[in-house]
Amino acid sequence: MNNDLALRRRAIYTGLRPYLEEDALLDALMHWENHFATAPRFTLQKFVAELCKDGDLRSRRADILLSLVQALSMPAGSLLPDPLQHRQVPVSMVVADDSQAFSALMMALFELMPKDTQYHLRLDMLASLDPRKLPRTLLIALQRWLGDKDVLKPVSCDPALLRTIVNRCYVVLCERVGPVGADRLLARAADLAQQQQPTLKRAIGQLL
Amino acid sequence: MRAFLITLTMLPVTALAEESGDAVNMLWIATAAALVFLMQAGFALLESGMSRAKNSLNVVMKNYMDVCIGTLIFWAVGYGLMFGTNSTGWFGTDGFFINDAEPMTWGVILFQTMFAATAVTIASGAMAERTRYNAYLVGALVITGFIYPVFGSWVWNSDGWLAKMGFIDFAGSTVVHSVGAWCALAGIIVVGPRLGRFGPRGEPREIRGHNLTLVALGGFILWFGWFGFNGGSTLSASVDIGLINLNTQLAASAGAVATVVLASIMNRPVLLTETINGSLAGLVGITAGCATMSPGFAIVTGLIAGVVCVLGQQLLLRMKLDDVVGAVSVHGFAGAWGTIAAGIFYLDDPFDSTRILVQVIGVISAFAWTFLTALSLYVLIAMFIGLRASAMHEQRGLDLTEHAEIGYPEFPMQTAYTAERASEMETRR
Repeated sequence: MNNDLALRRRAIYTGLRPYLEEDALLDALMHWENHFATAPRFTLQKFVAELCKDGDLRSRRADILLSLVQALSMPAGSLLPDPLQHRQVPVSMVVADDSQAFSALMMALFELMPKDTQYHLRLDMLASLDPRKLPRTLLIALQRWLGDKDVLKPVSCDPALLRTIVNRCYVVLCERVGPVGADRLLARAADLAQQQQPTLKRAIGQLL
Repeated sequence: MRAFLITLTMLPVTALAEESGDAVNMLWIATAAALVFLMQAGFALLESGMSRAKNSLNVVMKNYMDVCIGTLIFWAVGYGLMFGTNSTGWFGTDGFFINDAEPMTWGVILFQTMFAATAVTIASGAMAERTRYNAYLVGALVITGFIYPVFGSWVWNSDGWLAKMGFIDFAGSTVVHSVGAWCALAGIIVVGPRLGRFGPRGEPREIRGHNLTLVALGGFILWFGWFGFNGGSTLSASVDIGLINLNTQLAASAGAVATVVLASIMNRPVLLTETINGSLAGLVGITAGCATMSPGFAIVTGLIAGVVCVLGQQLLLRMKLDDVVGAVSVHGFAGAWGTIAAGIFYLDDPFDSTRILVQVIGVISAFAWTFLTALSLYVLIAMFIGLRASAMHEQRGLDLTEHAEIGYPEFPMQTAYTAERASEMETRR
């Protein structure tokens, strides 16, 4: 199963390589892995549609889809090496902790707020998310959570970026409830998240 | 012993009296300088207490370094600019890096150094909780080495243009306090308010200080030090010190009483911070005229200074200016009032319009020079160094981000930055 996933990841990487820069390519790859890796093959169209929503890629949507279909049919020897292979184990462990801690902290923060503050903060946070500065997977996870009030799914991401989002939330909270209230909420949220997920104690601290 | 007495009788009596007079004068100046130095501790306690716990050390550090940097730069260039030969009336041109002088000069330099440090430290409280440490210190260096001594030379250098006009500022309501306050005003305009200080409709949000006992203790220490500040400005051990320090005491008390009465009239709670600021406003107010005013007028000066302080703070809030400790209203507005009051209530010739006009000119010129130069200074610092701490630093608190320390590691508080988390953070900086 794992080998199959790695092979398909290499195929997606190979198919997208002619169209994306390295950073965007890795973001797209993570997005595919988080949302489409276990989905049926026909969802590939949806993946490409999401990928080509903005910018120059829109006009190349058909080419990208064709490139991906061809790559998925290629023999293993013709595919590019797995870009995540060497750092897969250590990175996924560290990033997963940070991401889970991020989800736990943010959800604890919102849980502790009065309902009306929560409503306004969701809107403020949604408005403050900058698609140019956030990886697609994280952006989508945050938009879904803030918009649908669904759970915040942990997404692999740079811890520094997650810290920035916590800080952004703190700034918005300061504007909304004042700095004293924001400090208290952040403190209580950190404690609550730590109680709920004792194993993430260190990771929660790293996000503050 | 006998030989000593014989030798003693042989000395010229006048020379002996002069020498012993100088010694007593020096003793008083050195003591007064030490009292003024103690005011730094008062400022540190007051400003730290009025800040949130997460920024309490940073404020103290700024006060501490104000003295250190101020001392060095004032000795190097400030004293020369302020008291050197002033042929133009605008600034002194010698006396830099002074290493050779008359014995009394050393005492005066020491005393004036404490004044310079007092002026510069006023800004630290106003700009607390969101100003970068290094950027603040650069500002402090320029204020002590340039802005303060240049204005000081206009008033306290005998050849200064304001001094020649007859401007009265005995111990520095304007020269020290207003100059410090106008620098602070420029600073808070450039640095902006703390995160969330004002609500969406511009209404101010209360951000209470973390330890009001420290504030009260700081107020007491400042008050105590002020006896050296005003009394020491005689620069000699004279009988005038009695009136000067009595006026100081009366005005401080009147300032505090005024805020209490005003709060009662306005049907507002009597706040400790406001009361202490009222007494400080009284002290600032009487500083200009403490040697040239009768006790009755000292009380009037203090009462009005207290009212000016309260109303000034409200004015700043309406203008969405975030002055953490109320330094601009205490030192700036009350200082301006006190300087004008020194002209109005002048002991031998009160209510003389010419003298009052000179006082007003002095107050306006202090504001124009100080505010504009300080505004330029802080804008340049903001552009090239960065004056405002980042939002992340404001979240964590400047104690942790600037100094890798927290003020109360063993006290349970409502903070996300416990000692345990902070110690882990230090390693990742």
